[in-house]
Amino acid sequence: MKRQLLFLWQILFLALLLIPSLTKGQSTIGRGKISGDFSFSGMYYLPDSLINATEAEEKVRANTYLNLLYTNANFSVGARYEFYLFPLIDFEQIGYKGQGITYFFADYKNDFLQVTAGSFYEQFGNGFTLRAYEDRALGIDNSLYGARVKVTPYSGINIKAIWGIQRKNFDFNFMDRKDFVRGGDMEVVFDEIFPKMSERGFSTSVGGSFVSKYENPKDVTLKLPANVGVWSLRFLFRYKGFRIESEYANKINDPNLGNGFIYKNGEALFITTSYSQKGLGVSLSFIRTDNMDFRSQRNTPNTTPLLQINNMPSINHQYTYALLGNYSFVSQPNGEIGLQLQANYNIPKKTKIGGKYGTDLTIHYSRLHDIDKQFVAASDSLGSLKGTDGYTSHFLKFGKNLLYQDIGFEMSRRLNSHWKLGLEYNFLTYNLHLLQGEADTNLFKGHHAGVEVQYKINSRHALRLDAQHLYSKQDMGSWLHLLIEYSISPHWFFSVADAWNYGNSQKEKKIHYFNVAATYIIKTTRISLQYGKTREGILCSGGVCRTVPASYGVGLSVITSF
Amino acid sequence: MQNRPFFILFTLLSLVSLTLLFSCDKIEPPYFKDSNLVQTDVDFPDILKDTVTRKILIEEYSAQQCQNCPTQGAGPLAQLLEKYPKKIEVVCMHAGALARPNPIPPFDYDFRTDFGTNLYQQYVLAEGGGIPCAVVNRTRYQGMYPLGNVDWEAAVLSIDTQVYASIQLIAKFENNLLVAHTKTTFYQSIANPVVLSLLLIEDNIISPQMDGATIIENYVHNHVLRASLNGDGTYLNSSGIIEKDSSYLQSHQVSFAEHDWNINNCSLVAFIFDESTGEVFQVNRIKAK
Repeated sequence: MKRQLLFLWQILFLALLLIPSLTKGQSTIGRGKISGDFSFSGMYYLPDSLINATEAEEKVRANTYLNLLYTNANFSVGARYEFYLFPLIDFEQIGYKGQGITYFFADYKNDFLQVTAGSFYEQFGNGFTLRAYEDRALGIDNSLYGARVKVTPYSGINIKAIWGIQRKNFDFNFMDRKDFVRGGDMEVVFDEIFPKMSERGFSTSVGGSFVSKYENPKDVTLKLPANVGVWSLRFLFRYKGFRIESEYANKINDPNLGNGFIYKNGEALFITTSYSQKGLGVSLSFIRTDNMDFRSQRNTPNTTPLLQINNMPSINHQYTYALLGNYSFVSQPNGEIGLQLQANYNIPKKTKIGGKYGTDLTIHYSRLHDIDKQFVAASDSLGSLKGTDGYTSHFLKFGKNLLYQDIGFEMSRRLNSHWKLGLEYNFLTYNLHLLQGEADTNLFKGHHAGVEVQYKINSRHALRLDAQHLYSKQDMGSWLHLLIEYSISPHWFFSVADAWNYGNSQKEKKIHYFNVAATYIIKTTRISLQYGKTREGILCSGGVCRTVPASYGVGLSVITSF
Repeated sequence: MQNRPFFILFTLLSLVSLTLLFSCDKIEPPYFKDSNLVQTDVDFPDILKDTVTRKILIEEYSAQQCQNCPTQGAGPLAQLLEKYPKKIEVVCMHAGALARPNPIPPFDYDFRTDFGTNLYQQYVLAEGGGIPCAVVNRTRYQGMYPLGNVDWEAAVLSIDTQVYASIQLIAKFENNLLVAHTKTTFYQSIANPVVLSLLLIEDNIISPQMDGATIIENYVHNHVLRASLNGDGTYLNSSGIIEKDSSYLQSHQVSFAEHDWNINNCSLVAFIFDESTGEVFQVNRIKAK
């Protein structure tokens, strides 16, 4: 441990030494270039029994990492050192705790071939078969350790093959791992092969992928498949402003903890189509997933993104509003069906309605259900479906349980050279029981309205006010949120925010979650200091979520790239 | 780049690769293996509650290439067993990097089991422990699951002597098939689901073992876990709630075919634990033959 801590301090010291010179631009070694980024995010935790924030025994915890990349012509090598031995408490809760060089690779690339050895991220199509990716904020790193080959034998034909073991937080004991992933993907882009197509406004491609995982099938009671495969086919067609894209995937029997060890095949269909012309855009998306949770290890709970090989795209409108963060849709790879419709319209500028600068309007609607399920006979007196085909399902029939629905309207308009106004209203229906495992089976219904006003005082000084109100009788009740941000371009940002749970049914829980923050930006370095409270809830990105415990304290973050 | 031979070559290679990758295993029903859950066809004698004491399960983690295991693991454990012969039952699991067999002798024998490896990952690795160590009754002692030998006795004595249940075991071995019949009787109600785990262990296995820097060729391995007869365990009843004075019969079997286990050295260890907390309520052991 002492050696590891010493190593950390050496890295930090080196990084701090490098930052002043590196921020001036990229450094060079020989003919190559060295680049990277460094991040420190620490917090001093204070107890607050009201919001259920506990005091960390270590007082101060932090997430730290350093990425280094060396590139020389077609060749590159890179590595990441992570120090998460005493991480922020939400990372510790998901098991993201440890330290070491967690990502390292060597890569060679030319027009014909790209080979990578070591760690890599990769996605096939929409991710139905493979999505090895990272999301630092969520604590997800599903990178693969192994090898990847990409070949472009002909312009417009792209072939990829991968082979590796998936990262499992900080458990790098690969010799004892009994699982690995391999797969391939091929895509043909016709308008690259036939350039005249694109000249006429056509663009079309087809692709297919196959990913298989191996896992030791030993089990006392069940006959388990050692090799489980997922295949998919996809196409994209575009003509001028019209675009349609679709992908269908099918997974062979994959009994696992998430599906209750049933043997039914999985499948997923995603269709999205859109039309756009100047000032107008309309899109419609449809998704259906059924038993598609696919992980390197079958005993991993499906309440975590850990060891997830594939990923289902999230079609619902993505909100950035603070009060709706806790009601983000959580993708359901094992069963969801729904659609989303969105229209954007720009009322032209210099018109009576559009005003001098024009007005942007957005309306959107999403509705997602669970899928229809006709269960087979249980395998035991407990009602378990373990060791059966689970259920049958009509492909296009919606299940009886509504998971999520939103309908919303947004408007943004610049009033003059100083003022800009944004208005929005959303009505949300959310199944807390099925999406977050809450005991309450009542649907959450919330009306959310917000106003955002930006006032540009002069070329350097600006003020932003963001006021939101969430009205609800369910869950934690109604909230008010107010944020005032003052920026002095290009270096300083100051903000004060308060989220007030004034409608909580328990008097003592009508809490103010305040936050005060100051940020200083110089070139590629960002230093932030914040103090305040964070409510317990979920944190999501693209339908992938994790729980976040309540916290209270002072946070400092330093992020730089060079 | 736009070279026809390359194009043909890589298209062919891709097709071959994809064909190889189509290595899915389609499982046809029935999905359960030949059931090792069998009918209980024996009668258990009545047992007087006053004659039952709470026994403690010690799960030892060891490895054939672990240099300290004989002196820091097996040795102290044998002394503890000698001191508390009626209080303790031991299961030894070989797991971790030092238990990994080599391709060539002397350490080419694989003592590992998936069951043991899973427990090792849960109770030792995830807790920052190392081999040799032991977990006492799947409870924490001074905040830790994996304990060094200096803490074993204190951990055993720290567990309350309250008798929750008794476990009776009857073993029958015929035609290379070992059938284990169990009867669990509860003397207290338990709110959480209770799981029965039934393990096969073997004593007197002669196989090489590191001891310090030397290799002991004829080392005697005891209490070595060979198999779990019921996977990760089976619930005792469907409701998950255990009533006072209720009894549960359960029988499982395991085949000795295709194994080098010596039935004369084998024993059955049955224990029941709280599914929520992991705490072991009772453990018992009988000779398999």
